[in-house]
Amino acid sequence: MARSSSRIMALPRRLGDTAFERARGFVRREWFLTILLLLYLVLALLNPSMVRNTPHLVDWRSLSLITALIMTSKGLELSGIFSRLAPGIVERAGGSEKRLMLYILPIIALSSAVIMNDTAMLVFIPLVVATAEVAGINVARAVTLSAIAANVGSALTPIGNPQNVVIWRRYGVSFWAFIVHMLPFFIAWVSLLLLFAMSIKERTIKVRTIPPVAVNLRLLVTSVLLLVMNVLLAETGFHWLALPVTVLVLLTVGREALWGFDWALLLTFAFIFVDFNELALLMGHARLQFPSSGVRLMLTSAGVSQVISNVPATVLLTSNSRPDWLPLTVGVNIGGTGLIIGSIANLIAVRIARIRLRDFHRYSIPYFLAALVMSALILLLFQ
Amino acid sequence: MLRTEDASKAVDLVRDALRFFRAGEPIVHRGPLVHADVPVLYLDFAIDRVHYDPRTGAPSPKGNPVHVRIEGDLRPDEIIESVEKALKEARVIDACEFRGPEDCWVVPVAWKSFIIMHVRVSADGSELIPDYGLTEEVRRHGV
Repeated sequence: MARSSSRIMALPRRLGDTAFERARGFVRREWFLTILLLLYLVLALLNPSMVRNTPHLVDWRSLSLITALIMTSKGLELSGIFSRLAPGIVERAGGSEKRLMLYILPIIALSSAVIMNDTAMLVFIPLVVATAEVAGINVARAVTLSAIAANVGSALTPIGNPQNVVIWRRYGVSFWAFIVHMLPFFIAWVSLLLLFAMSIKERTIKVRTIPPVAVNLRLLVTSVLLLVMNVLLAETGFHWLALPVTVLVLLTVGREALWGFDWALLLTFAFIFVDFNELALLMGHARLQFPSSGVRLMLTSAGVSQVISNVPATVLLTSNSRPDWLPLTVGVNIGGTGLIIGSIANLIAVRIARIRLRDFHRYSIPYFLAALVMSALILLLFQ
Repeated sequence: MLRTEDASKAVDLVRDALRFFRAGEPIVHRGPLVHADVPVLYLDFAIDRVHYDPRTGAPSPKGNPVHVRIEGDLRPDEIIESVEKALKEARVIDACEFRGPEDCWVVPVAWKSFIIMHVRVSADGSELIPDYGLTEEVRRHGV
């Protein structure tokens, strides 16, 4: 076929197609942000003064710290250091599906405590899917348990996920005190997850080795130093410095992390703050209140997370009031499991793995219910 | 000095990795003419892009992105399915070239009689080197 003729099809293209297709592509890709934008429009119709107040509804300090931490996590991810763990995990599993899951789930949980749960999903879900597909094991179960590991693992530290960053910054809990308080829940949740993994029937898988990926040492060292710096800045009250310093350093020595940053995610978080702070104001006017402490607060925050996702739930519950931080943190973190909408990490996992929602919920809902009961018992024990 | 043993190691490494390659979300370049590339992913990194030919519904050879006029939109699911199928049928060519400036081996991967992608491997043949630029592009497209 002549080269020139191979380049053009006979079908004409309508002028309107491109704009429409782009809009459709945006909605398909960023459906969560689209819902937030629509909610913004609805709220603006209910209260037109909201438009003028929009900048004041954003928690800029939390947003800048979340952005700095996501950029740092992105640097760690792109350095390849976590992918480098893959060959070791697969080799240690020695061809056992159960052992593979028992090794990988705690690693995902602990990694999520450092690099944010969303980023952990970007790193580990491709490994889980690739291994599961080649080995012929249950992809949906492996992916769902991995998503749960990321959600409950990220609960351990203030930098593990965006809702923890918001709570950490708003309540001024110290980094170590946060970890100490969350540790019993983390241990219980991971143990429960391992019990789920133990129920996998022992069978041999074909995958024994997996080729390694090169590690970008420059990006690794830069990102580790930035992570430590961001935590120290946030701890000492200089969190406003975290974002400019992170951007400046990455521009100088780690541009990959900046160019690979998902800027739509930043907009998503900004609109979460705007919409749910406004919603909390409207609820305040209507004298609607949430429980402020104990198991009731934990159950409420977990329940609200199941409906509107856990970061919006955190903003909604802390906007007008100051409920006890521990039951709130426990609730919004365990609320990240269960229904897929519970956390953005779930959405990322399902999207990468292309598994059906029904298959995801088959494992995530029983886990959520069991973990909820367990968390209530631990809270009662500590009160 | 380059050794044939290292080149062989590089080829073997890509052969081992090939079964783990997956098709990512297609990157569709729109305009008066449209062309679609599919990033090939290994774990969480993009390795190379495969050009997709909407007329045949199959990969196009490396170096020949197919620019076409289309009515309506390309269906990402169909593109992914087609490239996944091609990756299952793909094979690693038993030789590679060396790129001095990047200090790496480049191993060609063929589907039928087309070379559809190149995989970069470290000079000692022990590690896959991702296409960092493409990985960033994939991330910018949201996952």
